[in-house]
Amino acid sequence: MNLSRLYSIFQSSGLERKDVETYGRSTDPLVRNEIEQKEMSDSFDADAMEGWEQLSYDPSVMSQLDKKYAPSTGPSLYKIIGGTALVGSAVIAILYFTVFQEPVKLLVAQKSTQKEVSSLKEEPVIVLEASDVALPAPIERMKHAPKAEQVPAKQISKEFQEIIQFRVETPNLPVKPLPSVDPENPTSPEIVRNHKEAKEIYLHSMKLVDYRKYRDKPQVKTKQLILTGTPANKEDEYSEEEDPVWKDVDVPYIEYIEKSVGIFEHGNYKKALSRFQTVMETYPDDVNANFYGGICLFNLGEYSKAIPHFENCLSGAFSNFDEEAQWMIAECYEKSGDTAKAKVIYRSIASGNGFYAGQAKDKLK
Amino acid sequence: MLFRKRITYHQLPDEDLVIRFQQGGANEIIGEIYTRYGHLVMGTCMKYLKNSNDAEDMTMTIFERLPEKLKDHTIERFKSWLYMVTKNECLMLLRKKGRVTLEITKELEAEDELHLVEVKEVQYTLLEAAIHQLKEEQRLCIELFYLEKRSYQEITSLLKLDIKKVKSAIQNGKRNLKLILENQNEFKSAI
Repeated sequence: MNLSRLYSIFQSSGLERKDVETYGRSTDPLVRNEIEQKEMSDSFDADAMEGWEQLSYDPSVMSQLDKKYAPSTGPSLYKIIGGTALVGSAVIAILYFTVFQEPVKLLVAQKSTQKEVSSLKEEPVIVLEASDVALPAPIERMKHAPKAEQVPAKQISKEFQEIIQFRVETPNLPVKPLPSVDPENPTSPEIVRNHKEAKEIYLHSMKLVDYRKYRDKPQVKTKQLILTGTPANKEDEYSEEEDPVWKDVDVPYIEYIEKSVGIFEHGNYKKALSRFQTVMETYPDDVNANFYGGICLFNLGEYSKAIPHFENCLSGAFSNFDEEAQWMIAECYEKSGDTAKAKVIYRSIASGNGFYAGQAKDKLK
Repeated sequence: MLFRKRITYHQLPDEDLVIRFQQGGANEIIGEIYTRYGHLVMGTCMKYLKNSNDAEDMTMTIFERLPEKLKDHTIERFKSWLYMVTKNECLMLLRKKGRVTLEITKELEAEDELHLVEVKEVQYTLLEAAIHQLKEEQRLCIELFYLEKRSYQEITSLLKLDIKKVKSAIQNGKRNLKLILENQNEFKSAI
């Protein structure tokens, strides 16, 4: 008796995928025994092999599953095929374009329907951000100021354009002379802050400082709820979906601010405010978030809360919103009934030669 | 980089894969698990559901839910665990359709737990002796199957037995052998 064979009773390894196919093909008793021993190694293997018998040992029934779960078989071959196909289709497309104009349209139309279909097949993934679900309670409790008292986005964007126009028309603004310093009696040194105009970008016709130029990979920390899983129409009683969990994510700054400004533009000031506050959690001195957050608060009638945000714009590193912010501070004081403070600021604006000088003079009349 | 990763996953034992996944590992781990066991899940689903579409859907469902399940469970022997999950899912579906009233497997089956690491000459003798303690039918099947390397078909025609009987004789014989061996201290100590 071959004793080492005896040992194989408890030693055989499990069935591999290729064994299923081999078993279906081979009539060699030794080959079959080898696979049968694997089958006997475990009840899982034994059950599976019984199932495969009913499937005629044909693993191609798993092709759909393979597409979804099997790791791709090395990048090289697919890349070559894919690359060739891509180059090939490009050549064909160019040929079509230059030679036959009509068929191109057909080709494009076909392609686009194909794309639609495949996108339908994809698992729906819905990403919700914190501001989509619930707003912070203090924001939720705020009430919109009467329409006439609000500064709508349209007006702001109009003023941005007017300011640009105004600056073009008055190119050489006189520079205030520096106060002379008495060398005998030096006053305490004044801290001159580095306050300059930053590169701008307009999104939703709203002026923004383009922080991509000043911060290394700016990102906003926020929470997202990613809803995945079985679509409702495919769900059944025992599909046990777990409650989705909030995840901390970093969203590219420009993406986040763009969406926020869009929400602001649509007049959803509460939601926009909560998003600008999220930005300020990461970047407290962000002039974009401070300025538009301030406008949101203004439109929600929260004048005293808006003022610090406009002041942050003035004290921040960039001067892009200086004129607007100063004007808004005066407006806030006026609206909140502190006319004395408002007048001081209007006077200072009127004495300058900025865009709002004329309007400030009107206010003082 | 990606390629290298897959090679490492490929070399890892199941339980290490599970731990890596639980520690926030990549989805390629699920792919590797599919490579190892996808065909067993599919075959087992087919055995229970008797319909290739149902089996395919069920396999899909099992692998879809696998990431969640892996994170929630402490898994000692992954293969047995996956078998249990597969069987339970199939039985639940059948029960829902009113086809069976089977008990759902709660415990891991102990029959697959025997793993020998080192075998000495004396243990072969013990094993041989144990085989002789088996019932005639089981002994013959075990000997033909493991020692003479005969296929099911050959055993069926040699012993004039139904193939199902042959299979269960081998399975039961194996289980009984394990019980006999476990009761022998010398053997146990080497396990």
